Amino acid sequence: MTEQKFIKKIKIRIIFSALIMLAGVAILLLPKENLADLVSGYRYGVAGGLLGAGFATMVNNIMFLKNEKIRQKEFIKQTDERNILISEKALRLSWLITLLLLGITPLFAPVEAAQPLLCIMGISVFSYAVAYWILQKKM
Amino acid sequence: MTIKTRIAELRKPIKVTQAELADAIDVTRQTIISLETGRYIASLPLAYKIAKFFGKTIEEVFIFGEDE
Repeated sequence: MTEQKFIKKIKIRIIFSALIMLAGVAILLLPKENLADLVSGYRYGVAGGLLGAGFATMVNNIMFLKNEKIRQKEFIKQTDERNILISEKALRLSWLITLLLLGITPLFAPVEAAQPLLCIMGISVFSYAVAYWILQKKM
Repeated sequence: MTIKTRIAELRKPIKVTQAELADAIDVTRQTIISLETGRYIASLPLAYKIAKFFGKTIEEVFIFGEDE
């Protein structure tokens, strides 16, 4: 990745963070009549999370855009092939652990709890197969 | 296959620090440390960049060996 492409990526991230914040505000503005406490709390949590994450992403990326020295450091940090490999390996490992837990938990859980877990497991394996198939065509 | 690098050996006579080499080829210093200690194997583009930095060929910087 060149630095020009990185600057473009930063600008896209700023726009994306603004959209995330807007989504947070939109969730806060949703009608609240006849809403269970749990759902209402969940909504506030998601909205707060989106606002916080969007704001933090926006501030960080504006800083990268304005300060060349910090941007250069971040560019190296994000494009360093060892960092990318570590991140991919960590993702792979966490996915495998999640899959393992999704497979083991239903053995000890009631049927109603086991069904969604097995469904999530099925979706992950299916999406892996689809992603593998697409990437195989591309590479 | 084993791969050994001569990065540290080539770096010292020209007094280039790990940080300076890292900056020159756009990687982190940690990557240089991992390459020098053999914990990480560079990709072909990175190997090319490193070799180019020292004015050598990839084979002169990275020594390829067969596993016994």
